[in-house]
Amino acid sequence: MVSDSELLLEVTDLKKYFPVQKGVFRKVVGHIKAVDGVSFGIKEGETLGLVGESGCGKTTVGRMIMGAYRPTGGSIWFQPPNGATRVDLAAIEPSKMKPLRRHIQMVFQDPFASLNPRMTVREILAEPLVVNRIARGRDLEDRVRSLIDLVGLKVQHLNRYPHAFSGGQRQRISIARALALYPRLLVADEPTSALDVSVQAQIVNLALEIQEQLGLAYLFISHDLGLIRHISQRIVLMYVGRVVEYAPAQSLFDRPRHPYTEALMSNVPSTRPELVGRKIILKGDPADPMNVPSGCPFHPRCLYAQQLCSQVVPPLLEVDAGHLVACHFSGSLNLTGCDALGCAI
Amino acid sequence: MPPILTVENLRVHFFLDEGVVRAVDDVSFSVEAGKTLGIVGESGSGKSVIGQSILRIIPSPGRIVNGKILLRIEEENGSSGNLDLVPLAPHGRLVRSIRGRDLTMIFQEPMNSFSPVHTIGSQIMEALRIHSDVSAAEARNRAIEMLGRVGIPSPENRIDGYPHQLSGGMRQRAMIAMALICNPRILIADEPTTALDVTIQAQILELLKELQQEFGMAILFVSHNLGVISEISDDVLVVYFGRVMEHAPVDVLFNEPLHPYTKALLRSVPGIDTPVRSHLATIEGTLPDPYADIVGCPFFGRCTECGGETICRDDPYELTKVADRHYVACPRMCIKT
Repeated sequence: MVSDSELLLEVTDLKKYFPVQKGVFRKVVGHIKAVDGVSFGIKEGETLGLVGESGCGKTTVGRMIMGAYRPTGGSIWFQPPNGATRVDLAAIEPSKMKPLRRHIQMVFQDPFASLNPRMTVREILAEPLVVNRIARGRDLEDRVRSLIDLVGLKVQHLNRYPHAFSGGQRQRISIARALALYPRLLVADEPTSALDVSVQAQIVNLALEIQEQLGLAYLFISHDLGLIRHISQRIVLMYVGRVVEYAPAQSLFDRPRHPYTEALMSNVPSTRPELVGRKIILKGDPADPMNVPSGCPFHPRCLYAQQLCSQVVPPLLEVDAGHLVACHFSGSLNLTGCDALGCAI
Repeated sequence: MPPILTVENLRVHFFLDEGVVRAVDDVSFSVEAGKTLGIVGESGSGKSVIGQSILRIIPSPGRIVNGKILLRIEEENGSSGNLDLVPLAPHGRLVRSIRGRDLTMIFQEPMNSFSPVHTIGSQIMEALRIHSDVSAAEARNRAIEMLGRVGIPSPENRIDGYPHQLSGGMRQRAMIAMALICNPRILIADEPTTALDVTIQAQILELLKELQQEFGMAILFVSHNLGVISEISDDVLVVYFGRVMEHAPVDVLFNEPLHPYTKALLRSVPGIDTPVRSHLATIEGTLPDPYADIVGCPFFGRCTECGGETICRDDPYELTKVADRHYVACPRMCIKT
């Protein structure tokens, strides 16, 4: 779909299994397949939305890209900005990872837990610049001031501690810190989930403005389909460790190809009472990643499941330009798009 | 039909060392049997305290300082009257006999609302046996029946299970079973789906609607999520800074909101009319200082429609009727009409 050279980051067949230990001798009795063969790519300057329910492995994917977890299998190809050759972050030696880290930064969900309460905002923003020996003295102060200005806070705020700020302001500080090293990719893991809707809107606007100014790419991880639709150009939808659908945003919402996508869209609560349309109520709970069903992991809850679905894992195949789906029957199913379902997201 | 619960001029204040927080400040509403009243607001708006004050479980140092909470009591001889819950002792015999029988509550995090060391069945049966005179065997049968009714598979086995053995959605179902076992007349649901995934949230909302049809209880549904509120409510109360800003039927509120705060809140959610990657409308500024005693409109200063008219700041807060079942607290608008 996209030639490799355009991709800033390409994830291929990424896997992460967490061992489950039991007993006095911590014997490994099984594995939680948090991420099981995920592939996608992020282009320069685009926003890729990664969406799924809790336990689907979306956060684990983000953490592997950050280098916080070592993948069990697969590759994370990253294109450094200076025209150097692509490197596989999954296989790289830790010493070579360090200079690359500055290109990929992260913003976390909980702005109350991700800032050090004993550091002033100035110290928080200066730390990445000092550690990487990028700026000092007057230059450092200028960089810090331009960062705080970029996220819409004031220079007076620099001397305060995180406790003096509201949730939305703290999230702005987290974003400023992540931008200190001019990264090429920002991994944002549920950055607005802890915030009220009016504040969420401010952070989303800020994210869009910054992207326009700096041209960096986002991997935007969220469970909120409405938000993902608003912000993303392309979307990856995950279900218990696997990619279910991977498509341009418009194409995904106009014509979903996977029954899970359709059900998920119909379940998003709508703020238009007269539009409340057909709700597809799924049976049961999301599958347990410790004990993934055979075949298609979604088949026990799927309305269209047939015998084949419980036996063979469906491959992720391209069904339309850039639209990939993992369903045996995506060709024969006639699924309803978001607007036709009456879902007002 | 007379309302089953009427709240009049309720004020709940928290007396802290730093000052007095007016968590609920002059709130009035009523609910009819079989209807759902949605209470929506941002964090810190006091929406949860409204639910807690009805059950008389406000955490210390909060106190009801004014107002009435009238619960309609129908005697067996056909006469009826209202019982005011406010003068009752919060731990007294009468309140305890009402709590769990007439008024019940479900919470956001079901793991924290169940005792982890007792089986689900024993906790459901306890509620039943306190409030009605049934034998242990019958209570067990009723509990199994109720667990089955809320959609828990093989309830005869699950009844002896512990809360940690259930998934989040199943625990929420068990909590609903516990709340409904005595056939309450009013169910207060405080963010019951916030911790759940959307597919599970849709299941629980559907279940609540079905059970309401079947048992005819009134639901007070507290949530910050506008979408959830629009799906479940008949009427909606928009709360800001402890005050009701707008009270309207659900379709009126979401289609023709009148209060600038309601409008701003609705605009800030990306919806069908918002172009993708466009600038979302925001509400500038922050909530007023929680210790402040604001006479006029608490939204003054963040409101984009009033243009700083002093009337908004100085005119005492008042909820005015603008149409049938539609109330707005906006001084500017109410003067014009």
